[in-house]
Formats: sequence, C-alpha cells, structure tokens
Amino acid sequence: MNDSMLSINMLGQVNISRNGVSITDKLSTKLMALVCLLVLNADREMNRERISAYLWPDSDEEAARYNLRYNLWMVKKLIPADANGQNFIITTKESCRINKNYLFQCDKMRIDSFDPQGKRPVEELIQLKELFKGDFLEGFYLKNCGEFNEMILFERVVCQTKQIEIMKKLIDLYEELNRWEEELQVLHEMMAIEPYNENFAYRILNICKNTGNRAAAINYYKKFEGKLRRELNISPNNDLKLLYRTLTEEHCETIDEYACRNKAEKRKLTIETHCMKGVDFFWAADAVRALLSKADKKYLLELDSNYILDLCYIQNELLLFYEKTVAKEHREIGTVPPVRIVNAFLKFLSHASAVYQIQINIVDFCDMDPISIEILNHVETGDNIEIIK
Amino acid sequence: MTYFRKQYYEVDMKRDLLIVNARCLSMADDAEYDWIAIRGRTISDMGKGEGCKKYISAAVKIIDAKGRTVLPGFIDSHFHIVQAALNSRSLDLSRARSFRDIGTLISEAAKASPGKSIRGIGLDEQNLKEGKFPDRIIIDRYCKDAPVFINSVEYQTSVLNTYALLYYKIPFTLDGIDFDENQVPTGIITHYANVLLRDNVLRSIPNSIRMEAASGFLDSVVEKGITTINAMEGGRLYCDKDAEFIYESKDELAIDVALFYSTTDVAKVKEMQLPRIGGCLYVDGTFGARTSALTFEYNDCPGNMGGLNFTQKEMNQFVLECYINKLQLALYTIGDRAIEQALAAHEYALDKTGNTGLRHRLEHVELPTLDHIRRAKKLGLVFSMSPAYEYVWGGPNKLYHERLGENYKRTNPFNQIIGEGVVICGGSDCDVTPADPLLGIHAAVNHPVEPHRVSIYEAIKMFTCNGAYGIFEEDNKGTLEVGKLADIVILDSDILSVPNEEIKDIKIMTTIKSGQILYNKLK
Repeated sequence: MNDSMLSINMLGQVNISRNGVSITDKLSTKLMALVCLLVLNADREMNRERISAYLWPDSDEEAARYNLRYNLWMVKKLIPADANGQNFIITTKESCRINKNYLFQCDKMRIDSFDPQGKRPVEELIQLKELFKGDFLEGFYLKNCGEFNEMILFERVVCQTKQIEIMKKLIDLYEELNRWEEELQVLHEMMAIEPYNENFAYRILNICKNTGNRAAAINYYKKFEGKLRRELNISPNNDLKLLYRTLTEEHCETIDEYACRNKAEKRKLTIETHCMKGVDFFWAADAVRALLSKADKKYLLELDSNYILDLCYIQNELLLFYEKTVAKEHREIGTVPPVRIVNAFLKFLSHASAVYQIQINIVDFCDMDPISIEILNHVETGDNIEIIK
Repeated sequence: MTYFRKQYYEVDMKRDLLIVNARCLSMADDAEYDWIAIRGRTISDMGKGEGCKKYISAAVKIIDAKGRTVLPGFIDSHFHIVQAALNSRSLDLSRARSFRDIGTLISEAAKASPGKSIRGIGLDEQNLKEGKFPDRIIIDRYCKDAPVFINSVEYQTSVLNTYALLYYKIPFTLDGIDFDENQVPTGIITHYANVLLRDNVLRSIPNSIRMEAASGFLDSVVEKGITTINAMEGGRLYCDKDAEFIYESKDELAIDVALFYSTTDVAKVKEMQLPRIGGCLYVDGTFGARTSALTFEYNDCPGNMGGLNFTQKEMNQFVLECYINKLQLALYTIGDRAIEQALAAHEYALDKTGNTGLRHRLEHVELPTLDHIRRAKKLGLVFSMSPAYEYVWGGPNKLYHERLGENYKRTNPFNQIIGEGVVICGGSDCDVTPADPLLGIHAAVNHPVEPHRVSIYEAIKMFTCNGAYGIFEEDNKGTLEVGKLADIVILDSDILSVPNEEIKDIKIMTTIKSGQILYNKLK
C-alpha cells in the first residue's frame, strides 16, 4: 500500500485513512455512508436527490440538500486534494461522483474487480483473500434509511460470495502447484465460513490422505461426522463415507470385509433369474431380487441412493429393504423414465461386481421381455459377470 | 423470588417438619399414611392416627393438610429447562393469527423496552391468515431500531428484521437464505443457515442470563409441585452451551436436575462422567412438521411417510457404543418406523454385548405397536412419554387426527403399555406443553381414546416412582418412605375423590424439596 494514498476499507469496520493515518474518528456515520455510497457508485454520476433519498429519506427537500451540501463540504475539508491537485469528489449542481483521477484505493473495489473466470497468480489471490477483515460495513445501520441498509445487505451477500470464490480459486491453484499445506490452511478457513460443506471436507480428507497423514484424516472425518450429527442430525454423504472407508481399509485389513474382498479373490455368486415376456423389466427386476437374496445387502445399498431409488421403481423388495436398512428420508418415487431404470440397473450390477464374481443363470431366456433383452445387451460381461442363458 | 438451594440448607438443616391430617399416598405398595415427620432432608417417620404426637413439640413447623392428598414430589421426565426458561422471557407469538397480530405484539415489546433486542417464539405460519412467514420489510414496519429475531414453533425457521440481519453474523452463502427478486435477503432463514444462526445467537447469551432465567422459571415449576426434572439439553436446534451450563450449575438450582445431554459424542459424555447420554437425539421428527417416520402416509400429505435421521447401520453402531460404555441411552422416537429402528438397534447391541440393566429409554414413543411394546419389555426399556400431548393434540379433529387420520386412535396407548409391563415415566416436554404434572396425570386418565386410559394411581406413578426409576433414583425419591428424601407435594383436594375430568384443575398447596418448603399456600 502506498501510505500517501487515501485508503478506504469497507470490509470489517469502516476505516478511512490518509497518509497512513486513520481519519475515521473525524467522520460522522452519515459522512462515512456518503463516501461509501459514492465509492460503490464510482463508475457513474449520482443525482443529489438520489443520494438524499439514501441518506436523509425523512428530511424535507431543502433540509436534505443542505445536509448533503454540508457533508460534501466536510469531505472536501477532511480529504483534501491529492498531490496532483485533484479533488476526491467532483460536484455539480445536480450531481456528484468520485473523481477517477484522484489517487485512492478501496478494498471493495479491488474485490469487485475479481473475475472468478480469469487467471490470477497466487500472490494476488492471497492479497485479495487478506482483504476480508469482516463483513461489509460491519456494525453499520442507518436509522430510517431503508434503502441504504438494503444496499448493505446486498453488498454483504456479494462480498461473502466473492470471498468463497477467491478462496476456491486459491485452493485450486495450490492443488495444481502441489502446495498441500497452504491448500489445507485455506480449506480450514473455508470450513470456518461454511462448516457443513462436504466438498471442502472431502478435499481436506483427501489432502491428509495423499500426504500420508492418515491419522489426521480419520480424526478430521470423525469430528466432521460428529458436527453434522450434532447440528444437522445427518450423516456425511456417500463420497465422504467411501473416502473414509478407504482410509480405514488401507491399514486395517481385518476390519472391513469389503476391503478384504477387494484385495483377496472375489467371492463367487451364482444367481438364478426368471423371465416373463409380457412384463417390462421383469428379468431385470428379478435379477435385482436374486442379487439381494444372495449378496450382502448392506453393501448393495451403499450405491448412491438416487440409483437405488430409481431401481426401487421396478423392484419393491429393494425399496422395502432400503427403508429398513438405510431408511433415510427419501424422495417420493413417482414415475421413473425407462432410461433411468436401465442406467440404475447397470450401475447396480457394476457395483455388485466390484466385490463379487457373479454368474447369472437365466431360466426361460426365450420368455425375456424386450426391454430386459436390450439391457442384457449392455451388460459388460467378463471376469466379474458371466451370463448363462 | 429466586430459590437457591444452598441458602435453605444453611438455614433449615436441623429443623423438624410435621405434616398432619393428610391423605399420604406413599406410592409404595399402595400404603397410605396420615402424617409424615421430616428431619433435615429426609423423611424420618410416617404413620397413622396418634403416632405423630411425639413429634409435635420438636417440630419447627406443623402443616395441617386437612385431609388433602400428599404425594411424593413430582418428577418431570422430559423437560427443556434452559430453552423453556429463555422462552419464558421471550415474546410469545403462538397466538398470532396474522402479520398485524405479530406487528402489534412486536410494537408493544419494542415500546416496553426501547432499543432492546426482541426474541419472538412459537410463530406458526399455518396459523397465519397470510399462510406464510412475514419478511423483514413487514417486521421493519413495527420495529426497525432494534434486532428482532423470531423463531418458528419448531425452531426450523428464523425470521429477522433488517436491523437483526445486519446485527447478527449471517452466513449468506449457506443453504437456507431466502432472497427477493433483487437478490437481497428477505430475512427468512431456514436449513443450514438457520442452524448456524441459532447457534451464533444462543451461544452469545451469557450464562448469567441463563442462570437468571432458569432460577426465575423454576419458581413456576416449583408451584406445580415438581421437585426433580430430567433436563434434555443441547443438540440440534438447541445449544450445547445449555447442556454445559446445566452440568456446571445444576447444584445451584432449587430442585434436582438430571442432565440428559443430547449428543452422540460418547467420549465427551464419559469425560463428563455422566451416567447417561441422549434425550433429544432425534431418530425422527415431529407429527407437526410431518417428519416423524411412519409406516403409512400422512393423512394430510399423501406420499409422505416422514423420515429417519440415521441409517440402521449408524443407529446400530451408536447404540452398541452406548451398551459397551454402559451408558443409559435416551432416544427420541415418535413414529412407528422410528420406534422400530431404535428397537432393532437395541436388539442388535444387546445381542452383541449382553449388557442389561441400563434402563435405556425411548422418549415420546407416541406410536408404538403391540409388537414394539413387547420387544421393549424384553429389552428392559423405559418409555418416557408426555401424556399432555393427548390433551393438546389427541382426539377427533385435533393435530393427531389431521396428521394420522384414523391412526390417531393408536397414539400413546398408555394402558396397553402398562399392561404389558413396560414402565412409563411422565414428562411435559416443557415448553411444548406446560410444566404441569397434574395436567399430565389428567391427560393420561382422560385419554381421548378410552381403551388407552389409565387409573389415577397409575398416572400418578408416571410422575413419581416411575420417574425415579427412569433415572436410577428409586432408592432416594419417587415414593414417600422413611429414609427417602423429603420431596413432597400437598394438593388442594383429595385426588382420588375428584371427578376425573377435574384433575387438571387441582392446585398445588405446598411443595417441599429435600425437607425445605419451597412453596406454601397453607397456613
């Protein structure tokens, strides 16, 4: 920062300084509000009546004009012309605006110039992140100035959104550069802002895992899981659970039977399925039933619940077991389009074949319904799935 | 007046108290007595006829009960003391029927305490003719010079005026912020944002305020004859700071408080050396919000069967952890699907550990089946129920009927539960229903569904000896017996002679806690 410059900070408690010395104490709340208003509208002229409507809505026209004149005079007095002889505010009879040629800097303007799509170097992103000292115009509330207060609210939303965008940009960049520790630090800051964000938690866990800090990852998961349970009464999402499972699997071979299965030879599973020509999806539904009866149901239900619920549309036994075992609050199953059922079936089969070597015996293949025939054509057979017609 | 127990102990420790001409229902083996002698904190003697004469000269105070019923001090087995106390100092919006009603109440509160923040509670959008919550613009019309923070009836939604939106730290990027067409927050906050906001606001309340509120509130509790409460504190939508406050301060309160910390953090509870865990650990939601887990669809919301907050696997693991650590566990279960999940988890944990005798509890248990009751009996579970729900929501054309249709006839089957041998301890769920055991007794005796009604004696047991059993304190309290704590209430009439439909009108004349008279209307 150039100390000789006028500096206006709107993030956190408002602070206006000149030559490195704060002049905030000399400014009334309305005067600060006026400066902030003009800075926020720096790219346009502001009509005097409009400014009065923001800051003195209850005053009559003459009093409002006087108040504005007086405050503009005070600004001129407290913020004199810069080294180039430029005044901070340019006024006309009808309007006022910030003088773009006046040398000053403002945290909010820097934040606003951030484009989340653009590429920025790490150092610049760090600088931007550091600008967030608190909420926009923290502690500000102007009595009876509804429009101004509404503007603060709006800008607070904008600033909080920008803050997260900047931090996201920064962690992505850190990840590209393999700067794990710094990424981790920023992620923890992000979690302080959005404490239930499972994507951030996932990244934290992943970094701990990738950097060999398994114990930290497990502890973090436990804490996060406890927080979700305590404050939201929910469990972490499936992605997090699976990541956690990989953490506990890697070093503890006997704890998890599925982990063992991944490493050991897969268990062979033979199921018998039946067909019915006139009933759409009959064979597919029967295959789901047969798998449920032979495979580990709990494992099968670890597939993303959206697929499970789509599949429940054709196999009620799956729904019954889902409710009993997983029994999360679930969306109402209305009509599910065939394409989603087909997709869900293939995912279900693939999920099962991840831990089992499945042999599917089809009884009365000639009676298979046409949709199931199409599905069967898309089943990837190989080491893990064998179809016997 | 504020009651601090220490003061009483110092003043009255060695004084004798005598209650005569009483109809003392000891609640132990159907025994009745005419008089009770109290020395210090405990009952020193009891008897019939003239036997009390030997104590008259030493007694500092003799209370003539004039034939009225004397009972053990009531135990309220499900109570939210901190939030109820704070709510008692908040603006009650439960009777508001329109935005105008809300505005009038807020204006009056703002006028009474200019510049002070206003916390409104109990707002139910379904009661409002507008059919929705007011936004900040509406609330601003009535108060814009102080923060207004309104909680919906089940705390799922907060409504703030503009001042409060700027005053409190609001997490605008979280899920649950409602925006208008200009992308400005409307002041209606739900979901994650509401949880965080509530936590911020509740945490900002200093413990001195909690103590002031709780002590003041306990005055009214004592007036209802309550000498012990099971405090369900902390957890979702409440605040862990409440539980920590009770943990640290319970000995300073006028009556006994058994803390139920609503957390799944077993290690923390062990570290605090609490004998129990849970309380309001929500296995499911509420009938009001149609979130209790049912095996059938809600009558007034087809397609919705409510939902469970845990998977069976998660529940099994947690219950198992409690069994292994020998913690008494209290799970909040309302719908039949939630009860089923909790029972299945208990069966799993018992099978794995063989640990019995922990008197695990199911809280509320509003819709159990006969199979559930029998399995609970086998597991040795205690049902902690709130009979006053039936008074408020039971019977035709009330909430149970609206939500459950004809299944309202299945709710709170007290008689069946007792008949199967499951112990029921009674609670008010204060401040969901008033802290008033006599209302609870009335509701159990006058259940809208006749086969579910119980005798007056059984109903009294829910709030006395069964309550003590629910917290392993039957050796100290819950019955009137020599050597037990002198926790005693005197009613204004003979409860066994009063018509059933008038039980709720019975008043408490005297409340004695550990030998100290905390409340007395008798001369």
